[in-house]
Amino acid sequence: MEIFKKLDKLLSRYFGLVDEIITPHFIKMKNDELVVLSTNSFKRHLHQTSVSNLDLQLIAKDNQKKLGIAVGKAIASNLVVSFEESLIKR
Amino acid sequence: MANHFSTSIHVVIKELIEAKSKRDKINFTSYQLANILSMPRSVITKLTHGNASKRINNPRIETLIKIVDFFKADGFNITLDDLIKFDQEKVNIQSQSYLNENKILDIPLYSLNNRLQKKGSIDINFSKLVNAVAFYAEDSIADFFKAGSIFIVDIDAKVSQDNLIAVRFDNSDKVYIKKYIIKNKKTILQAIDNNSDDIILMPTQTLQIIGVIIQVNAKT
Repeated sequence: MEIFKKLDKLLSRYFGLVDEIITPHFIKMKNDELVVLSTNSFKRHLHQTSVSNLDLQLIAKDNQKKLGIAVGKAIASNLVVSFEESLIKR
Repeated sequence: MANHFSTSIHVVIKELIEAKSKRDKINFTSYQLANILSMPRSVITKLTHGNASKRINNPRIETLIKIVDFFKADGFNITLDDLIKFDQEKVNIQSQSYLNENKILDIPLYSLNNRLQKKGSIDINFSKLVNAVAFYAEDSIADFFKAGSIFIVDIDAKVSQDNLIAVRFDNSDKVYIKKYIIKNKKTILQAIDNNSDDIILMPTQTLQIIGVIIQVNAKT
């Protein structure tokens, strides 16, 4: 049964029935805008998205951490960016 | 090493194909490009492949000249140099590694608009102990640091080239986020947004560098 579940998940993603997973590969400054070059599931070509327009929900947690480190490096030295929600204690 | 010498050929060609499609309001494809240049489709596919291990990174110079000549003749401002320039400013995301941050620090949180206005405190995870404070951005600082972002400042860190710093001017309590740059013997506090100007520090300028920003908890 497990194999059918995996197959269903794979086919659903392939036919666009569920959200695509984004894998970010590179980040760079372009015309004062921070852009991410990433690939989507089942699409091999890189496409560009502004960091501010990136849907983090579609990026795995591990890749979010790597993305944050890379964003920090692209902006300044010794900087890390975290996308985790901060809880403010009043 | 491969990353240091990677080029952006694949990205530039893809951008040119997209730009032509957009400009001419057609769906211009790599297949059409290959046809026009009388070369197999696989050549363009391998040149623009998203996966570096499947991409040709040392293409024949004749192939590149053909591509550049086509786009130049079609009205695009592109040179061979633009195509083969080394892509040093690009940061590889997948090659980044992170440490397990096992120290939880409770640090005070203040407002960027008024450094004396305490908003509470936050827990941050770090791999080492740091003397830090945090500032809360009520307004967007840049496209990528929207309102609600929190800037964590190491107040003991020595400021160096390209650091992001928290600074205040002329005894004002408003805190600004700037990039610290030394260029041509001038110290420049570079703006990171489009709404403020770069500041060239003069001997008469009164300012206090609060510290180096080591982490931003970006609001998305």
